[in-house]
Amino acid sequence: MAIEFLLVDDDADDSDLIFEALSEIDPNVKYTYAMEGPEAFSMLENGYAPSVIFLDINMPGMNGWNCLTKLKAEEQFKKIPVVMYSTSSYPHEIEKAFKLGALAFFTKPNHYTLLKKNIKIILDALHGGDIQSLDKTVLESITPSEKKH
Amino acid sequence: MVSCSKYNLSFMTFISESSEPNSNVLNFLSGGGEMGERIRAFNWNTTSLGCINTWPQSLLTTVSIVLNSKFPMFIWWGDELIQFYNDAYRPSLGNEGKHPVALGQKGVDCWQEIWPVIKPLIDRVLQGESTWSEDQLIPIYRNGQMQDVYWTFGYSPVYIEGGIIGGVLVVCTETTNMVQNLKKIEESENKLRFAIDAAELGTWDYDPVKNTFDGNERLKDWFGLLPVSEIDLSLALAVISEEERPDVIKAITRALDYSSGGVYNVTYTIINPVSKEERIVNAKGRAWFNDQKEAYRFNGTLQDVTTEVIARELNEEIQDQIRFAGDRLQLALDAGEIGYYELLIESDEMDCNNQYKKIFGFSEEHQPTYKEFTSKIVAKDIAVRNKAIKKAMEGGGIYNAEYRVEHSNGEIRWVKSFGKAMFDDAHKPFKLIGMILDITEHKQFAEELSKQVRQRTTELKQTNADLLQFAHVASHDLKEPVRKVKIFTNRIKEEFKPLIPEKGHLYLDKILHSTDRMISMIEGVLTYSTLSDLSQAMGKIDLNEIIINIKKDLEILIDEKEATITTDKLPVIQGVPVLIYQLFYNLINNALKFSKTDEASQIAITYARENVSGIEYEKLTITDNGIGFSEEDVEKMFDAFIRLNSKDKYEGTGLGLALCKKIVDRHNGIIFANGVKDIGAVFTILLPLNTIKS
Repeated sequence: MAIEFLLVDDDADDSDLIFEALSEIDPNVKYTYAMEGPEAFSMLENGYAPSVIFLDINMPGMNGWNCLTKLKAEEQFKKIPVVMYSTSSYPHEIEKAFKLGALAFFTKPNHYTLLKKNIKIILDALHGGDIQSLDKTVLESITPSEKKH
Repeated sequence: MVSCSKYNLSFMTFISESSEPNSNVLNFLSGGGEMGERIRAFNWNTTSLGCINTWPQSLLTTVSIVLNSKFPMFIWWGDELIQFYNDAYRPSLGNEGKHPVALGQKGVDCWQEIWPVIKPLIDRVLQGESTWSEDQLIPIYRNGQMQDVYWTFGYSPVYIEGGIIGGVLVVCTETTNMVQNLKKIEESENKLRFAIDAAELGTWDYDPVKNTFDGNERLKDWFGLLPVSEIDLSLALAVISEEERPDVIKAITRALDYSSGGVYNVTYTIINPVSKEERIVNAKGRAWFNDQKEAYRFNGTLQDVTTEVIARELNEEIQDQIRFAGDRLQLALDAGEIGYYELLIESDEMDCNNQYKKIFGFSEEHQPTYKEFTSKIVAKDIAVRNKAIKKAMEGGGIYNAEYRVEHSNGEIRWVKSFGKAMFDDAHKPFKLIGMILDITEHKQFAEELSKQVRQRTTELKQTNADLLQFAHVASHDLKEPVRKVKIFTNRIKEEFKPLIPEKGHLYLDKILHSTDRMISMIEGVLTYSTLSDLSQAMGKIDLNEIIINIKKDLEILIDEKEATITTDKLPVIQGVPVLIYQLFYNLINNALKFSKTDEASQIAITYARENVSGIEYEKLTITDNGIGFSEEDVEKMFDAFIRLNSKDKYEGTGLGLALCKKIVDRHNGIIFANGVKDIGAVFTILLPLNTIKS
């Protein structure tokens, strides 16, 4: 079964980067992009069932927190693994994400290679049918050289 | 008449056959009062002198001189020092004493008690030497007891026929009375001096003829005069204060005038010329006049009355003040529109001024009762007021209440009432005295003010929140494009590596470096704005764990700086975990960052309890051996966007310490830094044990 990957993010550049990374890792992955929450929900309500959702936090209108809450509140969506994908790297936001039911937390990286690496981790888990092994994982988003600062 | 013995002294010149004293002898020994008779009647045969008729001429002559003298005289004659004395001498022997036994007695038998004293004297006289003793104490037995007797006496040798010494003539006078009088005088002088001393009196003595002045030690000390006697009066006068000097001179002149009776009593101030000490003294004395009505002596005492005068002046001043205090108080009360009252607690008897009545809405003419007054208090406020009264009666006696009164015309006024309860010996309150103020306007003003403050505070809070929100959003949004710059620069560098010349890579590195800085600055602003978000919950934080995590996160930097971090066992504290993490992260990160290039970084984290002005703190210090900072940098280093070091050498946002300060502030703590340039820095954090503040 082909993996359905949904990104909810108002940033088109990030969408391009993720699409590029997905194509390079596994061209069979079906990629869908929603620019805002309501758009994603309308797709979901129309029967679209993604294998994983990458959800940005900082979006105009319905933000990522609202989306996550709503996803986890509804029976038909709550099982979809959600990876929060945000600029933020604050521990309290990470904590909040897990509290609201997100599977993993991934701070948008500054390196394309890191982006690719983490997407691969997720795709591998999906392929292996063991996405729950990533429960409450904070995916690495900075390189060792950046850590110094 | 007694007979003469057959045995006569060897030095007798002739022997009379008759035992009766012959006429020649009696001529010599005639008169002489009682002692004359006793000598004539004495049986001299019982002595070594033998019958009077046989006595040598020299003895007769000597005895004759003695008997006829009104001066006390005494003779010791012959080897046995047989004694004679005259009527004048006789009282010296007292009653019930040596008289009349002493006559014809041997010296040694008569003066047993003083023989050791006088025998040597007698021996010296018998060698031919006269003696003279003045006021010598020779206690003798008389009047039935031993008595201290003083004598002034001379012992002279009496030469007899052949140039030898036949006896000793004692011419003496008893000076016991004189000596004792002198002693008494000396004693009373001592007593007087003691009294003068005890009374701390100065004494003075002026000789108007010589114009010299003298005084006791104390007086000279007061006047700052040298302890020499006899100084010129003008020197003493110079010490008297200038204003009073003419009056003193006038008083002296008057006392020295016979018609004044010589009385002198004047008070003046002296200023010690050396110490400049001022002393108010009372001089009392009198002048003594001779027959020509001229003063020959003027003396008296000086008493230091400084304390008395000052006390008197002070007392007068206090009396004055008390006298006027009432008036002034009334004036002040009127001017301040203050109501005054006194309430007798047992009887509810009330006394008050007109202002008091006015505040309660009564006219001046009416004298309301206590009940009438209290009936004006607004029903809602009665409980508050009664509680305050009760507290004053039971507790410290201070009464203080604010309540409303309603005037007859329905007008409501706010009043503030103060009072003090007075207690009797049984600690029972008997009186309440106090004042009352109409504070309606003040109250209205305060209410208006607090309303405005509330409003402004809300506005300010809103503005602040808006600003923070703006900072938060702005920094969040700013991060996005910077991240894009970075991610695509990275991609250019990595994916087109071979196509880009070396210089191109250098430029791309510069872009990346700048974006890194920009990101961290934006992060800083973001954190800073997030800090004010009070929703972040307090919790228990194990600082040991925090430090372990920080070490993990800073692993690369720690390795690079070859740093060792030593840590005390740290406490579990109350705080916002994220913030406390950030606090220690920043400080440790700083310590690593500002380490010296040529020395391994050493960081020590210590912990202690500390009490500062009564508050218990957890004290944590972070000490490093880095580049330190200078004293003048300390003040500004906690301000936002202040960098102490050039950014080329040391990376930083200029927000790190500002964040630390803000975090510590949020925990009601204290943070401060000490540093020495090129030696190192110590950051101290004090977190109160009870962090949570309302």
